[in-house]
Amino acid sequence: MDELGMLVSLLDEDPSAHGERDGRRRLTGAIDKEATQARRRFAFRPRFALFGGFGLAGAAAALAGAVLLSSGTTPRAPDPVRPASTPAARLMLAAAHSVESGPAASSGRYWEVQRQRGGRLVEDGKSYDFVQRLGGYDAGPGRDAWSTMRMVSKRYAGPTSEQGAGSSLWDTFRWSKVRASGGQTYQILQGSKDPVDVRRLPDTAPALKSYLDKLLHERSQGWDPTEWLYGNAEDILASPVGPRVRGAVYRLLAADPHLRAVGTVKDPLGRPGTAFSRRTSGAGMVTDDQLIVDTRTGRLLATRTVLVQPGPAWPGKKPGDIASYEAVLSYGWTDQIPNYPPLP
Amino acid sequence: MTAPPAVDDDAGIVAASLAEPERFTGVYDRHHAAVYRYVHGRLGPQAADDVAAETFLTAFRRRADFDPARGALRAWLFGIATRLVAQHRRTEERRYRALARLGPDRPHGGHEDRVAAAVDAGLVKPELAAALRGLSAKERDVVLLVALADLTHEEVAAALGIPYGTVGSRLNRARRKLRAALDSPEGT
Repeated sequence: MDELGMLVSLLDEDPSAHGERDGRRRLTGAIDKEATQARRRFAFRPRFALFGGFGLAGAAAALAGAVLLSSGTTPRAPDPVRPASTPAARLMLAAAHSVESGPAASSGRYWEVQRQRGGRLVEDGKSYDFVQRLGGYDAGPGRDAWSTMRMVSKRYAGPTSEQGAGSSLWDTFRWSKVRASGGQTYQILQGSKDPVDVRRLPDTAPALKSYLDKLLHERSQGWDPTEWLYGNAEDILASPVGPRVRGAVYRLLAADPHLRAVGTVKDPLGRPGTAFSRRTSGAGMVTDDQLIVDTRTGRLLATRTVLVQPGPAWPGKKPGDIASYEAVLSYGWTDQIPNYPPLP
Repeated sequence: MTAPPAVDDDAGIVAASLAEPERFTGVYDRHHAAVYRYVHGRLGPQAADDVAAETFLTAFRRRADFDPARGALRAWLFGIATRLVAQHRRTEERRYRALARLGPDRPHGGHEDRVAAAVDAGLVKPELAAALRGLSAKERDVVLLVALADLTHEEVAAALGIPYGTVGSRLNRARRKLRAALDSPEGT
């Protein structure tokens, strides 16, 4: 054995399980803290209950951002699937009917989703209003996948007391792509230890409700069932599921008593749709989290957060302003991956 | 879909974590064991848990500074770990001193048990630990990044921010000193 090999024998040791755990706990604590601040700063719309109760509970709260109150509260008892009796319910059922009677998606190697998002970000004490385009191309679990991205605009919006971190992602104004893990667009509960493949979801409303209620009960701590349903709904509606599963999602939303129909609106891309709203409050502000749906086709158009009562996180904003949005431009199957250069 | 899929290369994970901080746990998953081994080798078990954890916390907070064009992520992580180790020089000294004393007639426990068994079997010579104390801090950084972290010369250069040629010269010097200690009459 040479001297380097002998050094290894002398000094090498596997990490202890508790050391690994403690280190991970410290890191996720820092991540949670930053994510919470980031969500307030970046002001993306809340991401709802996608990560609840997985040892990433803090991340879930962080993702929910400043506009959720329910973390740590006791969940309501799950509501049964109820018959439609409100305008919101009737419009959701119209969306369910449309999507169930529409064509199934064609075929291809990759499930592709194109989105545009907008909001505010902070870099080095300066805030910017931004718009970004994102694409996902996913051949499924164990296969290849790609993410594409391009900043559309980034406009200085004034100084802020927050610090924020710069990133090449925020300054990439040409399309770039980066390799991704296959299968994530086929999942809900992304980032958890046990994500669920959407292709396993039941395709009737009662069965889907039982399935999601069971997941909520098993995995989530303190999430409000309406948040849970909203968050999973927007994931499922843009994922590779069939028309019956999409219809079941709308039927579940129709049965939620906390859903309110806002009426016909233009989505962030100017497309007409019906907005459904759910009011949340926290951190000194009140917001409406909206799903915008084309009820004639049953396609999810966008989600957005509308400021009802801007808090200290939104200086210069007034009630009715859009804090952040994420619009779904398209989803479906494709065989083509764009020939973009790698992310700088 | 509400988020792009998780990227599966180091640079991609760090880039994605700028927008979605929770992605950074992927860096921990991939590199914690290797960083721990390196830090443990230099500081021993008491300090290793803390310094390894601090390495990833530092990396997370400074991830916007990581530039893939300047080297691989693991080189950057080991650079951070090495700078943190440097804040524990006395701990490192104590560790090598303790290992140098190991032998059949010495009390020991835990990791030291295994080392003592290796000493007994003739696989390891305690003089090596003493020789480590005789290296300069810069020589120790290079030789232990190569031996324990398995970094290439290029990666060591990136980790420590030194020229490529300097890595080779420091490594050669360190190895000569270690061999000399092993070949000395006391070490045979």
